[in-house]
Amino acid sequence: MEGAARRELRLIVHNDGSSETQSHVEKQGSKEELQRWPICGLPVASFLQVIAMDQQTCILEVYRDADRQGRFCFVQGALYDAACDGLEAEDAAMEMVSWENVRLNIRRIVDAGGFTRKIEKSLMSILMESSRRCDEAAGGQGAEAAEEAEADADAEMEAPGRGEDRFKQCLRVVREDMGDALLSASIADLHGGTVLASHHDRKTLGTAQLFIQLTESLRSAFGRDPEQKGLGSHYIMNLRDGLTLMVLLFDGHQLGMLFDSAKCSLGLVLNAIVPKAARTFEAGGDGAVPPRGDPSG
Amino acid sequence: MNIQKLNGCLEGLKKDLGDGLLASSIVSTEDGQVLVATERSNTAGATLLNEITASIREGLKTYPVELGQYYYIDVAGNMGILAIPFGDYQWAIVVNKKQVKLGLLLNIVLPSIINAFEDAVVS
Repeated sequence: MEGAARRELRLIVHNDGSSETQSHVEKQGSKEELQRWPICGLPVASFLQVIAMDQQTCILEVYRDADRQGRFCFVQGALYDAACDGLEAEDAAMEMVSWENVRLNIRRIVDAGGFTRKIEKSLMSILMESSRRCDEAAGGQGAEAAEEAEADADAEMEAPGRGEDRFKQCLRVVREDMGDALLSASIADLHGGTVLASHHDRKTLGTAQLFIQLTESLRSAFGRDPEQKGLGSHYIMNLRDGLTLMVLLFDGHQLGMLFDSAKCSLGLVLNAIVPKAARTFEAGGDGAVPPRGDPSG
Repeated sequence: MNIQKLNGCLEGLKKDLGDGLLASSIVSTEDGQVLVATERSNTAGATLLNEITASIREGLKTYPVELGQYYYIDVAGNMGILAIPFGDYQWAIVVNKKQVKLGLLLNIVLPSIINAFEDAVVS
């Protein structure tokens, strides 16, 4: 990656209540210095998403051990390039995303003018592809681990009949029917802007907030409409890389979903899965209006 | 850009949707100005939709994902709005959702009009 004037920003990571500061006398990235850095407890993917969401321009150095390291290059939150172990661009990015128990260092870039974008795929696509490759490599073990991780992430979703919240029941229906096509789903209270239940990949609530923000933008825009039209019961967005975003609005709440439409068609979602979720909501509810069962009209 | 082909886009859409088409217009995304439009189009609405597209793009950056070929908004009452952004232009289509089912619109009409629109823009 071409360099430009940059100012180093050393990351201090707190681990088990202790933090370390490193002397700047030691060479950057030297083995001795590296061993003093604490291991970052977050997955690399989570860190990448934080940088993207924050629209940072920086280089993220990832150290798997003293001999294996790589770098991600971000410009205003977009992943421009990556390199590690002789790999470049998307291959390098996907390799590093799979690393665990890594040490990280962030170098802020002051002038990103000299950088050439070599990664065209979105960060989300790279994370999904990396996850798919990991699952394939691990075979059955990977699938079981993924199921366990999902069970952990959705631990509050209990079986029906045990006092489970109807919002969570809705999400479970959606999750079970859509399988790995579902990337993220959440139900939010539109009045307070709070997330009431969620299912999300990579354990981040970023998409839940995205759904809320999009609805607010649309409501605000329709508020300026001279013909006084109002936002109806749903909106659907075709996204790049085969993704679809759909938000259903009901009774002061919204159900937002982000899914891979190559794995689960929009028609199936609209005509089968959403009505089923609506019936689940009705069955467990107290008479409040459920998600619209027929967005197709 | 080919003006005749742009007009052809609107004519083709009218033929496909008949009375189900309430209004349609093609605008420049740079300034929201309308290039071509059907008789009952609302200029202010088309311009507003242009702003909506910009705010959607901005919002999606936070994830980050990028807007694809279209988005559809269900409007209170009997309307549905389909927006097709492409390059420096956007095609806004307002339908009577009671007459034009979403499946027909997205699976049958949309693929053909996207091709026609892109062809008109790049010609």
